[in-house]
Amino acid sequence: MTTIHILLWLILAYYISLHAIYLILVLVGATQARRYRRGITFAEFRRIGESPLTMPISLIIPCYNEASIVVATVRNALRLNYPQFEVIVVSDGSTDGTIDIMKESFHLRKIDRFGRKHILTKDILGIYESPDHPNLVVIDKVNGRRADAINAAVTLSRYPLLCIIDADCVLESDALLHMARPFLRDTGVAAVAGIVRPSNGLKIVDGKILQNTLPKTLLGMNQEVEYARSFQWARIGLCRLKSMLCISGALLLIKKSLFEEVGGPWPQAITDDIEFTMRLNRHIHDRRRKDHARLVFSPDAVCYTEIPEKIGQYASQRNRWQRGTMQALMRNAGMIFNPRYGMTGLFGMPFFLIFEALAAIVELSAWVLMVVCLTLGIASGVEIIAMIFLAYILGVFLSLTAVLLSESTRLRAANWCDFWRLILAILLDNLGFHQFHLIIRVIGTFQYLLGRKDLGAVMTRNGNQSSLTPHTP
Amino acid sequence: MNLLTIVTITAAILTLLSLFLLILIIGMRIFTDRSLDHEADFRKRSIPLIKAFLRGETTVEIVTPILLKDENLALLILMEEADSLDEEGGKKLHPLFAALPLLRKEEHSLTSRLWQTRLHAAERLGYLGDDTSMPALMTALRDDVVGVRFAAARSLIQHGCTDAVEPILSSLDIPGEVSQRRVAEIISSLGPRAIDSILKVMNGPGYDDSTLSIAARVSGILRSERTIPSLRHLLKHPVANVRLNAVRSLSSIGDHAVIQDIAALGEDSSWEVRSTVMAALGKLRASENIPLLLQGLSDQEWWVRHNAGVALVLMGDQGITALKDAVDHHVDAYGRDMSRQILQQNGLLEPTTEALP
Repeated sequence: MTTIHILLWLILAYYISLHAIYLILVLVGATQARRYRRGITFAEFRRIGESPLTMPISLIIPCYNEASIVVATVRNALRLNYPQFEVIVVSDGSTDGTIDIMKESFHLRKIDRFGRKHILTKDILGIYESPDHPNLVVIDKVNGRRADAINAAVTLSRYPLLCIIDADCVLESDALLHMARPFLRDTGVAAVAGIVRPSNGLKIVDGKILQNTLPKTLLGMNQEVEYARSFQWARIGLCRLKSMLCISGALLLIKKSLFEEVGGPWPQAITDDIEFTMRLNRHIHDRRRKDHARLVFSPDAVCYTEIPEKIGQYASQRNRWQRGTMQALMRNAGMIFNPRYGMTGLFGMPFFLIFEALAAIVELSAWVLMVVCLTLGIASGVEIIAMIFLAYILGVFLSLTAVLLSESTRLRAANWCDFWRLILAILLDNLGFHQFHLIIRVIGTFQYLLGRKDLGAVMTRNGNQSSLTPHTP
Repeated sequence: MNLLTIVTITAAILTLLSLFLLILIIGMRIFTDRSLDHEADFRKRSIPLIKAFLRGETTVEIVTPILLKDENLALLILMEEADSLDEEGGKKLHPLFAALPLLRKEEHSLTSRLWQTRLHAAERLGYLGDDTSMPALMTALRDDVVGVRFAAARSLIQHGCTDAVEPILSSLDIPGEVSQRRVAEIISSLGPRAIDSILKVMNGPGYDDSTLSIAARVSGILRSERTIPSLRHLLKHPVANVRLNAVRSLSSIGDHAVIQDIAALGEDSSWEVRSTVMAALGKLRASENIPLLLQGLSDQEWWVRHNAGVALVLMGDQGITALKDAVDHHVDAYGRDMSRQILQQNGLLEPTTEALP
């Protein structure tokens, strides 16, 4: 057997392992979600919603040049069904008039407000409150990236629970109730993650979700499948296996005390959410608090976020995610294969390294190898086609499993038309889109190794995306 | 076996499995659509009848045959209706609950091996159950799973079972603020009928700290003046959480005679107690304690300072004048900052123009 044949065998084993682990994660996630639903009582969320004793939440929305959508996002946040919460919007040095639009829309007036400064941040230029909405606080500060904006908001927050979302996020009205539930049942819960789904295709009027349809473009549909497969079911599975290493910045609820202990997200991080989640896990284990600080996934708390539907924006986003993953892994490399960190160190971190960070390089190597084999005549065309078809059908099978599981939930495709479009997207996913994604990630990996640390191009919001009510002065 | 054979066989199996999955998904989708249609149709037919029954326009005999077509869904709809009504309105639905042949089944489910089944049964018995179900629910208070115990406690209280207060307190004596809150809420939904049992706990010997905390909390939620002497006694309890709940409850009841007792805890060793004391003084408009509140503005804990400031605003002119004076003349920088913040939040002071550090 030649070296090339051994390599082909190794790549085949890698592929099958990758998909097998993902399949296991998806199935574990489904079991967890079922268990969760069976444990929900009829009036549970109504009671949480009506109780004056429910733990209050500070909802933090960091934004940078989000003038086109921030008003709608804040309106959606103010409408949430939760007994006591405040909304803190932080304009992180926006230059597009975000603060002016907020002032005008919510009749803000400037106040001096002081908080405990546990984490140092860039200077605050002004703090505003609204007489119309006593639970709205707006902070204008010097630019310092998303993490710095979050830390500034935490300094001025009042409540014991912090919910962090993105400026383009639309929460389902009961999302906070669903996320607060684990804290009310178990004092050992440290943070709760929720489901993040694409908002492109949603019909939202005045912050209220009226219709839940899927994105219109093929790129959007491909990401829809990816979100369901990887960011929904697999993440519930990872959480069950104590390997939740990326709580999306689009939806996180965390105890303020723990957030301050960890020191908040790192302002220099390329993707602050991944880096923060890894550091949070490290902190929990280092302090020997693993029994008193668990990370939980709520399969009922749903947040919709805008996904890029233009190829350039998509490439920039994924490039940043890849560099951010590499950076977070490098900063927390001591956890990999380290028994001190339990399942997180022995399974979660190696999984993240081998099957997330390095997956693109391995997969692209496989493609190069196949071309080499074909050119040198080491492998026949039939063998290569069989390999490509196997890779294709593995992806299809995994995605169909995710769709099957979603069918039993309220997140299923709303109508038959959307359903067939979803199936079509699954069938087309591995015919170009996936390979393009690979190339972006490989470029991201090399750029990180060459020292690129910037956040890439800022995503511009499209008027049609997420149908957020445009600001009308 | 060579590489090609393995790859081909694996791909063929996966292709077949994918096709099978696709057929399964389509089948499941059709089934789910039908279930949703059935539910919508059932709701459309049964809800108007239930509402007519509540208005006295129709009888149990007419409504029951419709409900029996899907008794589980009917139970869910009746529970939703009962929840949207007040206690009296909910009682009107009892004949319809009783018409569903589910009572014995749910009582039996309380002994299931699956905790989720026991949990749902305990909850449903709160709506379905009658006096004969109380022993089964009392037994469920000793369930291994805390959630089931909570559900059983709620159902017992839903039936107005005053005898259950003490067993609930002892079975749900779980450490932690959140659990105590949940128990207090459950018991207080019994209304004034809970007071005798609560007094018995507060005045009786042998009850632990968390039980006393819950009892104190319930007294405040129910705002019963009968509990004032016992609450005053609890102000001297060695455990901070008991003192805190006693302060909070006394301020909710609103008896001015207790102001000095509460103010005496203004320098308590626990910041949570001090913070509650400040809030209580504001709530009771205890203007004679303005000096104590001004002192609270310089407390080392943010919440104490904040509550002291809010309390001063609640005092009216006298407190606001003191707070305005504190902006420039308070001896402590934290006190000056907090005074300014509270006044600005209430629109009583213009903000500074320079950037904040």
